[in-house]
Amino acid sequence: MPERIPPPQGEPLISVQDLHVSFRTDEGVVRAVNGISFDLRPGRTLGVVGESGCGKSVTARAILRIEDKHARIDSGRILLSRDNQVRNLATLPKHGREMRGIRGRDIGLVFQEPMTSFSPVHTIGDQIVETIRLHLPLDRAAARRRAIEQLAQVGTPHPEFIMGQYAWELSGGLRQRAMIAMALVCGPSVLIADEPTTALDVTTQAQVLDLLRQLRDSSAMALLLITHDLGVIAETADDVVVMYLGRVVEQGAAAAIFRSPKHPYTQALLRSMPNPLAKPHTRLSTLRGSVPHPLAQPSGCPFHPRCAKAISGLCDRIEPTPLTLAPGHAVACHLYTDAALRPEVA
Amino acid sequence: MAELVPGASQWTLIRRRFLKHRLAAVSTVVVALLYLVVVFADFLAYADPAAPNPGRPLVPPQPIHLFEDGHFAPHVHALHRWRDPQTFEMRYAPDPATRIPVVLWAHGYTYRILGFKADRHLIGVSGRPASEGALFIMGADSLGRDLFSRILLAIRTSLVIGLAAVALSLSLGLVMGTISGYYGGLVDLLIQRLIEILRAIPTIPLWMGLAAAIPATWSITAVYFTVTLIIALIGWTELARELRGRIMALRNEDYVLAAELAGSGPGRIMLVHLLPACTSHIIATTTLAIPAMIASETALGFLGLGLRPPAISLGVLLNGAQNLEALALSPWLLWPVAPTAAAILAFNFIGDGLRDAADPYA
Amino acid sequence: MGSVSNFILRRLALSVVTIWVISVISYVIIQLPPGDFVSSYVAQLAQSGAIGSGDDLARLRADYGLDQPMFIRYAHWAWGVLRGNLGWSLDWGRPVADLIGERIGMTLLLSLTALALSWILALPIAVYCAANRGTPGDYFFATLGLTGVALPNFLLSLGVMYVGYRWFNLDFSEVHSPQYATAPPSLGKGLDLLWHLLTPALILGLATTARLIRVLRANLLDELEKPYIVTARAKGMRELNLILKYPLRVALNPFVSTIGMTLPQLVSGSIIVSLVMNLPTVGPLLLRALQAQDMFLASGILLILATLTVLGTLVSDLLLAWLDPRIRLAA
Repeated sequence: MPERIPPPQGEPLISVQDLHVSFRTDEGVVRAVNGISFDLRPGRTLGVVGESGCGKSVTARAILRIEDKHARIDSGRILLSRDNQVRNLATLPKHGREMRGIRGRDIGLVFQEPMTSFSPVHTIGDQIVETIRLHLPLDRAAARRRAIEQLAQVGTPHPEFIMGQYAWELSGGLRQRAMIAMALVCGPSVLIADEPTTALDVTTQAQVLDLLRQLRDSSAMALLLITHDLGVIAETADDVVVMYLGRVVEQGAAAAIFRSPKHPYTQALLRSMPNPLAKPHTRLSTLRGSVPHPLAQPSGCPFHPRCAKAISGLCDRIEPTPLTLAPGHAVACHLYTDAALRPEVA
Repeated sequence: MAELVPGASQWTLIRRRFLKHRLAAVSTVVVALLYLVVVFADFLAYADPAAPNPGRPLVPPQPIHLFEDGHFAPHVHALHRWRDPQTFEMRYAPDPATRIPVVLWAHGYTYRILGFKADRHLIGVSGRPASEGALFIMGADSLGRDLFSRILLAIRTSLVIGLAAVALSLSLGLVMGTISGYYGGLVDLLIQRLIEILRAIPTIPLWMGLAAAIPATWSITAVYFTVTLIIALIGWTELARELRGRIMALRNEDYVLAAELAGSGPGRIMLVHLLPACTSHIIATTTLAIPAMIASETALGFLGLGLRPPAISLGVLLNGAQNLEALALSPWLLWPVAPTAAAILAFNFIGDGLRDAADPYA
Repeated sequence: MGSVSNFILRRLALSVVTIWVISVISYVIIQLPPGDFVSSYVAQLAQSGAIGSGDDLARLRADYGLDQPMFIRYAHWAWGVLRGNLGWSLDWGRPVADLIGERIGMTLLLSLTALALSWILALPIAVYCAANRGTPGDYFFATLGLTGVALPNFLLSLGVMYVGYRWFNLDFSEVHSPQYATAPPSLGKGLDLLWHLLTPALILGLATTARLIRVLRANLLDELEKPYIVTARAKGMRELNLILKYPLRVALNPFVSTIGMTLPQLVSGSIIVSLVMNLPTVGPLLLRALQAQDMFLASGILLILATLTVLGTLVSDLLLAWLDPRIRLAA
């Protein structure tokens, strides 16, 4: 695949700054997101990667303010720029008119499971038209034409026919296309795709990724792509955020991170990915252990119990702060705090 | 999130959740008190509930005065009876000059408790037997019988009928539900159809028809037993349905297969492996069935079709409260409504709390 | 479509069997009291002065087939019932079918009004409770519902009657206002009738309402957890519209699927409520028949009530099969 040249770094459309989200459960407070920051810029794709339970989806939902009832944004800002105006979504009332006007209009959302993400008792067309009529001043007929247009644009064959179908009557790939069409139909400046390919089979995955790439290349929309699949990130993202237990452990341009990952977690993730260029019979390495229970977060660096390079007495005590290694490339790891640009420690 | 509460057994979790349900916790106290009444009804009563007082029909409730000239000396005023010259109605007026002392641990009518004969009562009127009709805390019925004492005895009858009917329908429901759920197939089909048919029939007219067919010549005990049987025969379906569903789900669990492979027979599997796993649900459903049974008895008695006088049950007492004109003149006849409602509501609240608590991992 | 007709056939067959079982029970109830009804008839004749001789008695017995075995008598009776002959009420001296016919309409009207009322009330309350889960309002309705399910109809109607009589001087037993009492049927009379039936129907429907709220609220909450709700929220829909448009459609099923359970309870309850409130339904008729051991009338009422209930349940089952394809598949 030819190396893509990402568009220049424009002014961010969405800027997430030091976001903290926690859940109140019967057993205690779960800190799901602990101070993460990133920017979404026009025409660029930001990939957020991490194992399940690291807070990726919570972040996506917090941006749209559709976080769970028990979840709370404790601090931080979610700044949305529109028409030279900046507003902080983190402080808007969840169910208020302003927030509702932003959802689906400025920010579109695509979910993992297109089957259950559509209502089983309403047609696809009904649900897309509803989105349009919520935000655009179109009558029913015009909204219908707009919906058909959008379905055609995302490459659905026979869009008029699809309009009258129920989600469970479509194939997985068509469902996800319809989902994307619904997210795009009001022309949002930001599209959030939460594991858009996870529930699909491999060939359909490729088609949907192609579609997302086309969309990114053909418009000035910012794309936030959330996935646990580094392969998807490698093929699609311009910038990468690596999350672990609600924290950003490494962040930078996709090219830089794939070429020379700094954080031991990123390195481990990359090593666990099949490499088509590797010699035959090389064993894939696995990441030892699993993500700790969110109520039992380790002290110090959250990754230290699973880290092969953990420095005892340091990593288990003090949480590392993000350190900029190169312009746009930051890592939160004690290995780099002493000698800033120390090469990879063997 | 079960693993977060290490060492908490299923029953601990159920108890914890149950106590969170405040109405249920309070109701447990109410039911405990009601069953204390069941055991000690005769002791708590102070007048023979069956003995009529020809001179005291429809006495209104009497207040007990606690102090006399500044000293603690509980007493009631003697009643003066007269006839209204215009309406010819019987009227009562307290005579403050004649004070009748009320004492604790008094002698009264003779009763049996736990096999012993006794004539001690919690309170009574000193000096003369209470049956003469001096004390009526909740008033008297049309035959001059003390309503308070009658209510206590009625609580005993109705609550015991409730328990007995539940025990009967529990056994029926357990057998039918377990067999139906365990064997499936034709047996299940037949039992399920039977349940469906029974549930499709409006129960109250059926009860009424069956209860009305009880010959008036039968003894109280026979009627009592028959009424219990009728209520239980129609009431077992809910429990059987619930149980069948649970057993069917458990039937396919690996541990049941393991028990079968280990050579356990169907009887052993049902009794040792399946039923205990449903205990919490059985208890919850049973608790919810008790008030339904109590309500059935009360409704039948209220209509004059279940237990009949001289039996004393809440339904029989309420039967005396049917006439609106009589109620307007003697509203105290409505007192039996209070324990009936209390018992039915308390059992329901407990059952509801148990049902919520029965799935501690939910 | 095969499974649908299969389902309908199964339901029909079950209904027929149920009605047959009911007829047997009804007949058994006729037979239960000691002595046959000819003896009581004769006793009555003797009381009123028209003394029957032994010959008459034997002739009567033969007329009614009382000298034949039980199952032949049952067949005879059942054949009569099939042709609309429910027997003769000794107490009233009129055909049972006529007596029931006069009052069955009011019975059905009361039950169906209660059913309609409980739907009208349950829907908004359940939506409110689901949307405001865990708020004081939700708890209020939960407790009210629990009480409503628990309190027996006769206690409730007794209480309402007493309060109405004592403090408001209301008489619930009149189902028409005086100006309509003898008037020919008209819209005004119909509305007046419904207005008078409102209180008894509310009492009768309270338990059903509470049960419906409970089921509906639970279903709504289940649906509200589903991903498509998050999608709809992410589109910028208002919370109320969200509930109204999406899960409500799914949650409507209980309205139909519970009729099978509700209808017998409502018909049962209508007997008690009308007994206490002295409404002109078959309730007071049944009680009087039972007290007078007028067994043909009593069993006729039981038979008709149960049959109508079974038919109602059948209709609701068919309606449900039409409404929700999943039921058809499961059948």
